[in-house]
Amino acid sequence: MWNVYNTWDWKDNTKESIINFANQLKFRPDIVERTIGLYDSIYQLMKAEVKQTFYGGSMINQVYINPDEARLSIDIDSVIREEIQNKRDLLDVLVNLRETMLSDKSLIPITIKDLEIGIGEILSDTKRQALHPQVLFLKRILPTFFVGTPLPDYLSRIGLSSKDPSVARYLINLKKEFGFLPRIYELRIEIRFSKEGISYPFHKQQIFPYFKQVLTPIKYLECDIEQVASVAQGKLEFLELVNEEETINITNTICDLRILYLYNLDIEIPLSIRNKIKRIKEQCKADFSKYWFYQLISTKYSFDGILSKIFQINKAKKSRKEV
Amino acid sequence: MDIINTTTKIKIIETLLQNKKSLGISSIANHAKISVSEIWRQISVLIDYGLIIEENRGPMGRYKKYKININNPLVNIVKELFDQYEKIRKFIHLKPLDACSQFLKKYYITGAYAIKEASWDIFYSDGMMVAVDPKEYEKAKLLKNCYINRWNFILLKKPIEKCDYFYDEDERVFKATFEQAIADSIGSYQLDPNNIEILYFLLVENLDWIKLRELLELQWGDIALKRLYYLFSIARILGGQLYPADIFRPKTYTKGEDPVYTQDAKKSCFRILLCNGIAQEQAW
Repeated sequence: MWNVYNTWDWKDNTKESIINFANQLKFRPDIVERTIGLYDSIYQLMKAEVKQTFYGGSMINQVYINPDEARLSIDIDSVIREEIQNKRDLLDVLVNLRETMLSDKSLIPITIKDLEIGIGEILSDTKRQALHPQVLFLKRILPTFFVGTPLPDYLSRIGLSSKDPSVARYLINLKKEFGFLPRIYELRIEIRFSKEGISYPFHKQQIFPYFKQVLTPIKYLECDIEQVASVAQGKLEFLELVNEEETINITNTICDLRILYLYNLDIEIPLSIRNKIKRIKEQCKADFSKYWFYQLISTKYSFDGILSKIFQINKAKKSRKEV
Repeated sequence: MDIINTTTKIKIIETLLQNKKSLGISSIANHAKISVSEIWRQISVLIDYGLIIEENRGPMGRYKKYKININNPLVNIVKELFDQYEKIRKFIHLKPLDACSQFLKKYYITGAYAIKEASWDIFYSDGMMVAVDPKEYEKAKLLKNCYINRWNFILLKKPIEKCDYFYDEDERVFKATFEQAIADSIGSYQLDPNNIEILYFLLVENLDWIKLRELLELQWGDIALKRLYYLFSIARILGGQLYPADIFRPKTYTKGEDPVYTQDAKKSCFRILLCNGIAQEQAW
C-alpha cells in the first residue's frame, strides 16, 4: 500500500493493524482510518508557507475535549492571519506545499496511461470552490482500506475508465502488488482568508489524535489553535446565523459548546439562540443517535444532558451577574 | 547621393555590373529597357564620379563603349548594395512562409504559429517563430529585418539536427512537431511572451509527454522543465487532477524562481481551465 503519512509509523498502516486498532477501540475500522488521515493532513497543512490558525470542530475535539468523549469531526478548518486578496494569491503557497510534500514523500505521483494521479496530494475541491469567495476549499486524496471510493470507481470518476486496457492492466498489476485494490478517500479542508487578515486569538498547542489511548503517532503536532473562549464565541455566532433546517450542524455545534462548562467560560447564550435550539431540539436529538461521528460522545452524554448542562451553567452565570 | 538618385542610373550600373564586358549606349539601353536618349542624359554623372569608364572604339571617338571601374571604391559599395538588393528582391513580395522556404535551408517553423492551425486557430499569435541553424542565422536576420514592418519573425538560433521537425507538404515548409513547438515556446519564453498562448494546446491536448520531456531537457535544460512543471502543478491544484506534472519535475526546483513566467502562466492557466470548465468560474 502507498505510504503517504509522515506522522504515522508505516507498519501501523496495514489492513490488519487497522482492524486490530478498531477491535481494541470497539469502533468501525473506517473511523480509525479517517482519524489517521486527519491527523497527518493537519501536519501536511502546517507545512504551507503561510501563517495560519487552526480552528473548527476537529480542533475543539482533539484539543479542548477529553478524547474519550469527543465528537468525531473529520475535516480541517484553518484561517490565514496574513492579508490575502483572493484565492489566486494562495496558488503559489499550494504549489510550494505540493513541492514540499513531494520531497517529504507524503505525495506519491503514479502514472496511468500518460496521466498522473497524486496519492496524498492536496487539490482544489472544484465542486465546492464556488460556494464562498473567501474560503479555499481543498481536499486531500488519501489511500485507504475501508473508507472512501474503490480505486476503479474513483479512476473512472476522474476520467480513467477501467474498461480502458491500460487502466485495467494497471489495476491488475496493482492488485498483484498489494494483494487487494485500495480505496481513495477525499479529506475535506477549508481555509478561510480575508483582505485584512483574520485574527482569531490563538496560542500554540499540542494536538493529540482521536483514540490517543491506542493510536500513537510518531510525530506529535504542535500548531497555532484558536483560543477556547474565541471558539465558543464563534460557535454561538454560528448558531445565531444558521438555518434551522441544518440540524446536523446545529447538533455538532451544541456538542462542541460543551467547552462552555468544561472551561467555565464567562459567556452567555443569547435568548434568541436558546429559543432556536428549543424549537428544533427533537430533530437534533434524532441526529444525535443516528451518526457514527456521535458514537464516542453518545456513550457518555445524552443530547438533552449536554443541553441542560449548557443552559444550567448559563442560568447560574446570569443570576450571579444579577446579584 | 546623385549617383543613384534615379532608376535610370541604378539600371545603368546594374546592367554594367551584370555584363562583365564593355557595352555601347544602345546595348545598355536594350538591357535596361530604357530609351537611348535617357541613358545619354544620365550616364555623364556616373562618368564624372569615375564609376564608369569610357572606352573609345570608333574613329574620332564617335563610337564609345562603357564599363564599370572596379577600382573605384564606390563601386564596391554599390556592388554590395546590388547584391543585397538582389537577394531581397527574390523574396520581398513572397508570403512569409514561402520566403522562409525559398531563402533558408536549415530551419523549421516553430512556436505557437506552428500549432495554430491544428488548434483550430483558437489562440492568437502575432509572430512567427523560426528556428534557424547558426550557419544560416545571418541570412535569417536579413529576412527578419526586411519583413520588420509587415511580419514579426522571431528567430531562434540553435543547431537543428537533433530537433523534431518534418516537411509539411501542404504549406511547403519545415515545421516543428507539436512537442518540438511547445518545447521551443517554453524554452524561449522570454524571447516572445506571446508564445505563452501555446499553453492552451498543452492543456487541452494529449501529447507525447516523454518525447516532450526529452526535447525540453536536451535542448533547453532545467529552466524549461521547471516552467512546464510549474504550469502542470498549478493546473493540477486548480482541478485538472490528471495533468502529468511529475514527468517534468526538474532535478532541482527553487521556489519562486522565474517570476515573470509564473505570473503569465498562472493567468493563462486560469483562462484556459475556466473556459474548459475544469476550474469553476466564480470560484477563483
